[in-house]
Amino acid sequence: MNRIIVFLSCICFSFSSFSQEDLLSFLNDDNENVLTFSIFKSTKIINLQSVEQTNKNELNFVISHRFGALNSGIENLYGLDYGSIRMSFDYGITDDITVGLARSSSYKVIDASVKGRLITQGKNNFPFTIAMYSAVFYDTLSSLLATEDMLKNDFSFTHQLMIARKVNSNLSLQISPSLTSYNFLSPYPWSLLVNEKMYSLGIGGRYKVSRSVSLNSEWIPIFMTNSNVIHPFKNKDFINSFSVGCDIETGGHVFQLFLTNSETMFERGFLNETLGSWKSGGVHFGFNISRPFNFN
Amino acid sequence: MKNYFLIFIMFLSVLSFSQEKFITRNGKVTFNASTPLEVIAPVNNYVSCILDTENGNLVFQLKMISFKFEKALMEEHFNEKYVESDKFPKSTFVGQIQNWDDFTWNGIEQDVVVKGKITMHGIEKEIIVKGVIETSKSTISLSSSFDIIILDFGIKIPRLVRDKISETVKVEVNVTLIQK
Repeated sequence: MNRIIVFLSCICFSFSSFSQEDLLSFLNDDNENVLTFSIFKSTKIINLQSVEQTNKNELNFVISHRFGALNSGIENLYGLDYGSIRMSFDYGITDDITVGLARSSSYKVIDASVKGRLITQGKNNFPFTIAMYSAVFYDTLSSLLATEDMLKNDFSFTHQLMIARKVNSNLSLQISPSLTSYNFLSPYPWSLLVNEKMYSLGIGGRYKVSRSVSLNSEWIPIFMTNSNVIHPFKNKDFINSFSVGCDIETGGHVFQLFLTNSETMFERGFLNETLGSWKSGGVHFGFNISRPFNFN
Repeated sequence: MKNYFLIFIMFLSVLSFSQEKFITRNGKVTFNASTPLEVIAPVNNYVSCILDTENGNLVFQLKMISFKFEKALMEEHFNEKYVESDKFPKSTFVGQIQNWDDFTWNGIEQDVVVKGKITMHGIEKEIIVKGVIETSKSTISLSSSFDIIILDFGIKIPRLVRDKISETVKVEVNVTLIQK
């Protein structure tokens, strides 16, 4: 009997003294709700907006260039003689709402935008980050060219839904269904083709090759104009935007270097009005450089 | 009768083990990797800690993503490029207060030596640090300050920003534990 008691008390006292590993497991809580961060390095994949937001009280200044087409010959140094520029300022009102103002030299367009993040991947185990982007474009040039000068004709709008997933720490993917509506059809070459309502589907992604460098690519087929369905490959009216490049992150700046067949840098333009053809070398070298300024 | 009494004592010992543990989930850990070029001094206010007063066993756990930096971009780079929080979300310390038998519940500050293992960025490292322990009526406070070399944990600083981030990081720990 005494032996049994000694044995039992040994068991009991071994329970009473917890091991260090037991203590560690004691601290684990079950409702782990870890939000996914850094799905993309920058607020843009290449041309397309990414789900990333400008942080609260930060001003993100992005300066972008697209040089001329590679097929413009040695006399133009394969496009480097010519460049168009876009300057954009994005301000984070909260971590989930950004407002932006930008000006692009191609077609002399000023645009204002708002971008909001609706849900972040990982919240209640939700598999995607979803964000919305809306922009209004003001053509400062079109009123000079249009036959009927009405202010409302100078505006066009793009609305975009962005659904992204960080598949693993290196690979992130995003799709961006977009709608652009034109108040005017101005006398640019593409105006013969674009309609009042244009629908496109941006597909993009990034793959991190090192902790500071990632490879990015995006393809944006137009799939509907007004109510006509457009085949993404077999259509003669539209050229779909395709871009490939890399992000280089250097502490404060993100440099994005890429090749794209879209020369315009504002949403309405590269979604619907792409003119360059990869087959014939109508491809532009370009870069975006972003630098955030903190106002905390 | 004697046996019943022994069994009663045994049950008591099982019931009483929970009385020996002191715990918090709101401890504070800060670290400082500042250089003349850049202030890097984030705070984590959600540090879990548990102390077993039976034997002086001491365990800390924190989520790397809970470190809050002054600049959001810095916080992003910390998680994305340096500590890789999605691969290694938590850091832990598992150890024991060495001179635990000397500990008394007397309300004055007592110097202690803590020995154990820090696990961070997937790498485990033995560490011995000095600390101060202080008791009140119902709480035990622990504080410590020590240096770690981040290269020991496989965290490399790119040459481009070597002037901006200190390779030796001063860590400060402050927790107040209450009885579980």
